[in-house]
Amino acid sequence: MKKGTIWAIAVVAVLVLWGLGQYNGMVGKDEACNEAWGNVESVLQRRFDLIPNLVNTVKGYAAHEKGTLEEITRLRSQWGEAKTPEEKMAAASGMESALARLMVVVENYPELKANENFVRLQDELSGTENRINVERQRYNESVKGYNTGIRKMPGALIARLAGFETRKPFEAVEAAATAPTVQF
Amino acid sequence: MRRAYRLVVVAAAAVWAAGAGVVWAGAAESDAWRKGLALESPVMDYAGVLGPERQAALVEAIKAGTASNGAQLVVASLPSLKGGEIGDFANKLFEQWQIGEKGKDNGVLLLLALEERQVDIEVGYGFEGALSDALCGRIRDEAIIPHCKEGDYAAALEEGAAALLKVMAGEVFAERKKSNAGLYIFAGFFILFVGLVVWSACKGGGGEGDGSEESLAPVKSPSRATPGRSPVRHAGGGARRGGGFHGHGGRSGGGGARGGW
Repeated sequence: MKKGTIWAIAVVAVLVLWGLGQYNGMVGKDEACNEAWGNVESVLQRRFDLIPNLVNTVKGYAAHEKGTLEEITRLRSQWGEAKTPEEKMAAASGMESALARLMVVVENYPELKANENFVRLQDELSGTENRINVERQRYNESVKGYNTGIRKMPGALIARLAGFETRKPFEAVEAAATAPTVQF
Repeated sequence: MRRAYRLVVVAAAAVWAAGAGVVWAGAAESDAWRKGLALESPVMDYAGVLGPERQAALVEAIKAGTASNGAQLVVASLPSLKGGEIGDFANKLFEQWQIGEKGKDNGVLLLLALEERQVDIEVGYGFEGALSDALCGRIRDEAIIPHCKEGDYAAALEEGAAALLKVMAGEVFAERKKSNAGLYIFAGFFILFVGLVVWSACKGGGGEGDGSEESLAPVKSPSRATPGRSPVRHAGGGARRGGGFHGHGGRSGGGGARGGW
């Protein structure tokens, strides 16, 4: 009888220890995601910081593109108001397509394209796009690790108990990857 | 109606799968090719554009230019990216080679891909201030691309490296990593705690003579308290011991400039 109690206690203790290990692993992966997301946010912020300078430079040469520039300015304020990662992803995606459209339009303004200030601004922008891609990939990899960790059995039981939820990866914008459609 | 719908779904799935397959195959070949590239020298001339003498001279120039601050510049030429995209390829190669010192991330990679006619200057996190994207763009446009257009890839590598070194040599580096204050405080308390325990134990035991020596022991060895500095020092030692060339754990977030000719 007493032996049975000891065994039961031992089994429970092992289970609890295992559960704690699983839990701590998930917390670690969750934190890795948070850190990766922080990096994504800082490169996105970098892109949004370049916008006023870009808009001012383009305005001087391409007054006809008021609509596109206004949309970019609007998207920038949308980014300022975004609080949750989902809102920020949406604002960033919107900006990505708007910038891609602007870069196509810019082709019609040879003087602007020759402007040294604009050329360097373009370098900063494309460098930032590259950074965003890099940090986005790293974030998505951590999210993948985390999501797999909390969905695989038997760890999924602990995840359910502790209330871990799957995280959403940050997908690249399809529209920005392909050439924007020209409307007549 | 229903059958037509099903047919459309199946066709769409097939197209998607085929497309994904092609992309995946390209990425996989490029990945495999990249993974086989090992860093052995600051100049990795896989495309063989330099020749032995100019290569040795460039290695010396890079060593001289980065001797003052421990920064690393790697110059590489590749015959092809095998389906990879230059920005992605260069960033992954940078991470694979771990160019720069850990925590300082003071590495720079200049990569030329001949078949794709693309160049990439990939900048470690620590150099993002000095080598801004705009400055890298200028170096690309003024020192590298004009030579590439003439087919003089050796000059492109040499002048690109010289322009980068000019900026890199002037930099002084601090640890980029956020402070380990928490760890230091924890280590401090830990040592204090151990000291107290040992001290009280000795006091209880009464052996004053050996006791004081023992109680000092954990305080005397502060190696536990400076974990942040050890990898860098170790890495430096490793490089001297081995005599070869390798990265020291530097990372890049994709800063720099890229472009074609």
